[in-house]
Amino acid sequence: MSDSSENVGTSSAYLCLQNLVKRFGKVVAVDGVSLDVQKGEFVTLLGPSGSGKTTILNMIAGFIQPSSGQILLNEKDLTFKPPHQRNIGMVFQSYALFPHLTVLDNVAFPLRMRKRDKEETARRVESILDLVGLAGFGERYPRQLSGGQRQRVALARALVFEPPLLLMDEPLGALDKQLRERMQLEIKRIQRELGITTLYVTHDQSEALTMSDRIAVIHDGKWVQVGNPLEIYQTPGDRFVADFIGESNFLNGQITEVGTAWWVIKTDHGLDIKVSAPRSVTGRAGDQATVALRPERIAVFPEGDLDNVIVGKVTEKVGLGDVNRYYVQLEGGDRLVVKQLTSPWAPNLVPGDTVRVGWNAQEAIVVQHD
Amino acid sequence: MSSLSRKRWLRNRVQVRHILLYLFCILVFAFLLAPILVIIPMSFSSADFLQFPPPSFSLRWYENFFSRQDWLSATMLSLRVAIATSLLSTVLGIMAALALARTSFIGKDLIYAFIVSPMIVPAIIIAVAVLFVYARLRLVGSFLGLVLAHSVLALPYVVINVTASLRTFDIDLEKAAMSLGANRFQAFTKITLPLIRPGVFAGALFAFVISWDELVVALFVSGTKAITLPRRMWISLRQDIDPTIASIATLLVVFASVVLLVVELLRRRTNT
Repeated sequence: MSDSSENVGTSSAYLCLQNLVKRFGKVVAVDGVSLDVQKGEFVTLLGPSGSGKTTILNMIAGFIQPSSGQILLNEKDLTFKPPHQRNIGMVFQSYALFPHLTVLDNVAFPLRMRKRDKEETARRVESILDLVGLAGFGERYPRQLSGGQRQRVALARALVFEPPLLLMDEPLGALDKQLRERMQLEIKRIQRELGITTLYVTHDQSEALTMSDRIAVIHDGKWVQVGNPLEIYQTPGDRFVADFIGESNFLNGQITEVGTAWWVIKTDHGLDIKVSAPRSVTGRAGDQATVALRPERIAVFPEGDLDNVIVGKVTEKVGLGDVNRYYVQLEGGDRLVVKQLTSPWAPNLVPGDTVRVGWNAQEAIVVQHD
Repeated sequence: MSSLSRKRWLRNRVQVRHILLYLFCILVFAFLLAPILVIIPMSFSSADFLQFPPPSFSLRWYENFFSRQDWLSATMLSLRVAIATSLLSTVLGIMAALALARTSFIGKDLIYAFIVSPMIVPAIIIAVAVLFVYARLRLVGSFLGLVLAHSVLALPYVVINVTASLRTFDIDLEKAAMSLGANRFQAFTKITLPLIRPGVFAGALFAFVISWDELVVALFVSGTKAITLPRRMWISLRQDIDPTIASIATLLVVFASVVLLVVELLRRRTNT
């Protein structure tokens, strides 16, 4: 069901990864990955730990040599260049600030390596510290800064020499939730203002959805789906994406009817549900299929006509303050998680209540089909 | 505070077992240091032989040391050998420590054990083995020979100290430096070296002191032309037995104390 679209390098892309492969002995960490990134785009590599996303980033930065494949930046072949010649800005998970240098010396480091004159260096450092909101912090040492401030110094240092590409390796992992969300917006603001092409690695799917122009979901060293956040969320390409991004109910069953725009699937528990037919696949009656249904797309006590309306019983309720999660057991045995905002006009259910739930065919996506 | 609670407060602060512990420690230190401390007053003695307690105060044996050519040239040689040993073993030790910390290969543990082995192998075995080899290479009684032999003895200390510093060093710092435009050498000199400086310094200092004090290998290898200070003292002990030895020993104790103080101050600096 999935496809890794927008690959096959065209040199019009600013950053072009062509069939990158990395083997560590017998283990294939990265299995033929291709990607085109346009100039100024913010692309996130999203995947669980061990999926290969950091390996890809390290290959682009030059710390790991690919087993095969090519990396092109602005039409120049970077694949075997040593890291210090690639002119790429990188922000590490641990920030990697030089503890024996002041903030100013840290940020000025890349300019001094490039032998820029003193005035230009001073000017650029001041301007970038201003941009990240750390004006006047030049004389402090990294150990005197908070986590969020260190993060900004790392960012300033990676941007001060105006690289064509910025790489970020899970930079916000060490921050607490509120600071993380604020920094996400900060980073996005700075990236937009500078228009710098950015590749961001994270395992946090909400972070990816917040910040990216496009998301490349990676699993076991391969792309699973590449697209913009809305696409990925609303039309997950396969079961992994539907499960990893947001939350999904999964219903397995057999196709009983095939229409032009919809299928009818009889679940393993005997429930007949109508789902929208996937565009790229033709189904036949008798095929097995899995359907993903997002908890917030299910209506409780729906008014009007919906394609699927089923009676069930609430078995559990989890209140999260802004959202209520109901575990509903449908007639026949299928279980669903239903999410409702705790607004004054939403029904307040308790375990034991009988409830009617419903959804339209287009809310349920076929994510697996054999 | 009432007098009753004050007594209780005092009793808690100054407990009997604390006093006993202090007493015990003082006795142990006295036992360990007494032989060395006895030398100091003996060096200021006016007698012709080593005598304790000394009859009267005199600086003649210090004068003797500073005026005789054979003592001074032995001291100068020891100084030059120690500095050269320190430099050589530090450079080699840093390279070895880096290789051991950053790479993994078959036999790495064996190589580490091999480098560290001079700490465990008795010096006399090393001395005899080195003499054998040097006899063939005509390195007996040469400056180079001494430096090489002492470097072998000092290398483990440098490697251990630098390895310890490297362990707390975040390798992402080097990666960051390279991503910012520094080549491997620049990343090492500008980022790694300043941050492992305490370990390097400690190792270099150890190397210096080991070479400076070294007697056993020097006895075998210094021949007739390259007599180090420890060897000269050894000769004097067997031939002269005059208190010049005591004055030199006192000077060495002071010197070693200063070195240890410097190392300790450096160590304190890194912990901030």
